[in-house]
Amino acid sequence: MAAGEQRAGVLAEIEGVYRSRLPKLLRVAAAISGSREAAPDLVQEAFVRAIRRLDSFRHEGPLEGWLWRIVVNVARNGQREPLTTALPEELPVADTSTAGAAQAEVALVLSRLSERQRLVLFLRYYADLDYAAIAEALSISTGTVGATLTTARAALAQALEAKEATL
Amino acid sequence: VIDPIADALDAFVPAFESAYADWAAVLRAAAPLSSDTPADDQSGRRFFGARRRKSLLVVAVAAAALAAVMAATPAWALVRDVLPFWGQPVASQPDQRAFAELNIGAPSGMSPEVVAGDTREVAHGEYGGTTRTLWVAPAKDGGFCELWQPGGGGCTTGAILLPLGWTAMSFPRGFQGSQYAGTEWISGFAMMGTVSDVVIRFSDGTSVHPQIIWVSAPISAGFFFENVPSSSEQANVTEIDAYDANGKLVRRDAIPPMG
Repeated sequence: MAAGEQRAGVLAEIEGVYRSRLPKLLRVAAAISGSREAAPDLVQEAFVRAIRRLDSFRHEGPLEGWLWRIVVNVARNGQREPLTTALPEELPVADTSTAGAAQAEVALVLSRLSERQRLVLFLRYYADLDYAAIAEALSISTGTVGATLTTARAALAQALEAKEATL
Repeated sequence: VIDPIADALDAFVPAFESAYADWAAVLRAAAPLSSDTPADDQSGRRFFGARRRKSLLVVAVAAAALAAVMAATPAWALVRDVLPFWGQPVASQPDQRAFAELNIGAPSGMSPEVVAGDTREVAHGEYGGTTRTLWVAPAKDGGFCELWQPGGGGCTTGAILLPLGWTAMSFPRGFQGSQYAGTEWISGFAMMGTVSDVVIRFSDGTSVHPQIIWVSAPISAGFFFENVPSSSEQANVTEIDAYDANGKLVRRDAIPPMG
């Protein structure tokens, strides 16, 4: 296959990922950056970078994993405020105080996790990625993904239970 | 089974129901800044946005246009009700310019090479509560770019073309505060020769087979647009499937559920 055709094929694949995964991409970007409003710009910026760096994609792993890695990196760089102070104004859920309070509580709990734990959780729950894809996106091993996810879930569950107990 | 972690994460960042996949804006933003770029288009993001509103007095409904050209259409075209592209109304200069700007300053190898001067009208009607026109232009190396005015669009060009592409439009209603107000209409394309039927499925179990306006070469694709029934407005669009002439599934785009 000629280089031009290969390039066009990769671009078509990128477009396919963008079109079919956009809601998930936005959700992960919002979670990482702490801003629902900024998510569209962050995702767009990530795909712009992907297109500009198309030649750096080495076909050594799945294209989608490479794209997720760029999205994660752009969203991390776009993080405007510490997670706990970004809420609830930056991530409005609804015009009800109950929803806003629940959101703020979860943000507080998430802020106590390590960044890797949060990223693994976001990619697993919001993007529905499997361990291999998460590993590709975060440049870690699948074993690390599993271990991180287990500890993150346990920590989050414990924190949520503690919250419940205080109510 | 209740998963408190999933519930908590749902509360933290509610799902983005369906989002407007403006691929053309991504391509545009990927292009280096050019001094040739019009001053009103420096942001890149709005390139395929509402550039102008056609007068509502313009009457060129797709069905009427189709009927008109069918009268002079050769027999081969009638078999599949193919709209002869070259017989369609030519776009005005502003609309042609909207397409031409896609090529300006595109990264090396990334220009869609759209032939703006060949832009033709493919459909005109009321979608999402607004009267809109669908313009389509061929690309030099295969494929095409499409643009709803007002609305948005994208390009599918190059050696390898996606069999199906779609966008769930939520405007003009869009979001009410931070709450998604529901998909208003679905717009998409399907490649001729690969796809014969498209099915849009909703989470309430309903589905629709949108009418597809097939367009002849050099476009060689069909365009569909479906107003989401009011009874389904709060339902998720869960899947868009494309089938070939034998009923075989050739593309399935699963759409994440609404939160």
